[in-house]
Amino acid sequence: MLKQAKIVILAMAVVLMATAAFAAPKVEIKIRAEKAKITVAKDGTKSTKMVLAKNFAPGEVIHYIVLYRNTGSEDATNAVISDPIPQGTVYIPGSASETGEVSFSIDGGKSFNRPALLTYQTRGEKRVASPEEYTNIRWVINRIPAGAQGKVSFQVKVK
Amino acid sequence: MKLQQSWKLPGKGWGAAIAALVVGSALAAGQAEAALPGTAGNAIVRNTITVNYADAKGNGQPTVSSSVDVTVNTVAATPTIISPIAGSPGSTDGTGATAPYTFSVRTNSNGPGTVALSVGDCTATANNCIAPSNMSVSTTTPTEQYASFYLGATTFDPNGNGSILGAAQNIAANGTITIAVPADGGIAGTSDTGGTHSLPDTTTINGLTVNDTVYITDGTTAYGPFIVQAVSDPAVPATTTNNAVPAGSLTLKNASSTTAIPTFTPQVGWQIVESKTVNVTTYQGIIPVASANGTGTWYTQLTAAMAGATAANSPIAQATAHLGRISISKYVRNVTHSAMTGSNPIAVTFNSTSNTYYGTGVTGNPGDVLEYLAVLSDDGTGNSQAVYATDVAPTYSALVTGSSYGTGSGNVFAMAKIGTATTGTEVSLSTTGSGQANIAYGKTTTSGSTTTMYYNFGTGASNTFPTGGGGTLTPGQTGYVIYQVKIN
Repeated sequence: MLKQAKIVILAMAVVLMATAAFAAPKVEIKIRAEKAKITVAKDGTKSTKMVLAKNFAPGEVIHYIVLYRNTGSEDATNAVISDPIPQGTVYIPGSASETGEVSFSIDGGKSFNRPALLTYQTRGEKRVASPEEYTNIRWVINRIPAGAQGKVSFQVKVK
Repeated sequence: MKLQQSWKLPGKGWGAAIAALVVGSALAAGQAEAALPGTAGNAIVRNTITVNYADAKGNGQPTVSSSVDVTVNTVAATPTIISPIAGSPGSTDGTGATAPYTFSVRTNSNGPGTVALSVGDCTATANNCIAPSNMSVSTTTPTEQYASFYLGATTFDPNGNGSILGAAQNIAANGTITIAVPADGGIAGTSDTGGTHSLPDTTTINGLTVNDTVYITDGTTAYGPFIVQAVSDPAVPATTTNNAVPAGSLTLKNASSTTAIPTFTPQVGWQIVESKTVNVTTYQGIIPVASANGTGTWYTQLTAAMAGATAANSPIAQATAHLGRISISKYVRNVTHSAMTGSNPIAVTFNSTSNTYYGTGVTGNPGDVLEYLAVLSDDGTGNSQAVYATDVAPTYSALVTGSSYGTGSGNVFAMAKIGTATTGTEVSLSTTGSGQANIAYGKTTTSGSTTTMYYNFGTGASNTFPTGGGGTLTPGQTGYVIYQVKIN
């Protein structure tokens, strides 16, 4: 009888360990575009509501909202959310959400830095890049715990 | 377009910064962007965002991404009217005469749309046009006529124009240029002629297709015209990398075979816009002669509007309408006592005899025969039509009639001619109505003691009385008529 029980316990231990080896993070991401809609009440007070939008006129502002979550069983580490500034738009300075570490690129994503450190040489002069020159934006989030979710966002203006 | 933005220093914590930023930038319908729009209507703005991450041990996990597309709107803009490009203002003569003009209309929008046309009959100060009943509008399309047409427009794409943007372009006579333009997202190939035809989407991009006339513009100066030689409009792929939707392209050829296009340096946001020609035919209606001048001026103004944005200060085509104007003068002489003269004399020949008549001062005794002379002249710049005159014998006198003028008993009461004081075929006019074609007809009617004389003058005059028988006198043509009365 005892001999049998040992075997069973060992088998269970093996099964348990196998399950533990499959723990992993699973990050999902979803982006949407919104527009600020201003409604004026009868008494003149204005209220702003964000609505999903599919059409924008040149000069209008697109609010990009990005939801992410970790549906895995383990924490995700060193998550880098990266987004090229869409063609035909220009980044609106200061509009990026301060999630983790936000930085920008002016060389198509080869390198990223904080705005004050984005410099380049022109005519022997070192110049700080202006937001119109940003080509990419990214957020680096050290850890997304299993089961956690979050949001990043930024705005661009349609040229 | 107003863009309001309130800045907030980014604070720690997720989501705090977003709620505080209020941006309002709604464009009212029909408002045009004062500055260059920059992006073509129907262009797809695609955003593909990716996440790379690792597990707890630092092992890289598969990349995950999400994408969203938005479409750029076409913003209506006021069109530009160039004109008239053909058809001299010229002059017209007479009701029903036509004056043709050709205008050219160019869109200033960032995308395709309908431009509505109308014509007005205006005053010289413009903006005072009424829809006239005597004008018509037609486009140059031979088989169809519209009061509107569809014009295409797009912009230089930021991608694919690397060798052109920022570089001076010199397009020779017959020279070509190929420009990358945003794909139009597969909008239905809309009619190039404004009707209900449809063109395959791959041959039309934002309403531009082969053989369209287009200009390259920075919003202020338009370079061209060019003729579209080739169009490429790719379908938008389901996924793309680095957020760049593949662009289409247009190949344009300088429409002139003799003149180069002035040098231009295109930038991102410059537009390629279509223009079409409009033929306007105006018909001269009846112009009331109110002024002292012999000419009238009439104005044709074309207006073009896109979604309520009306082209300002449409050029006015001005035409001179020749108007007829009749002046009439009356003179008299005393036949019985020729020594009783007056002042303001004129010598006119009838019956081979030259007699002098006077404008004022002639007197007569009872029993004297006075001979009146009426001189009618068209001293306008155009024809006078339906010319007829009436006259009555003065009080205390009676019309003299005879078998021929001034003799015997009968009913010839007047003589008339068209010509000069000394020339012209002379016609006898009888009280019952007679005359000669293209010179004059006359008749009298008596009511109580009043005898009224009727005269119809000129080309096409007829023996129709009292009205409806008048003919046409051309500028400078003069008619003379003499009749006699006897003082009671």
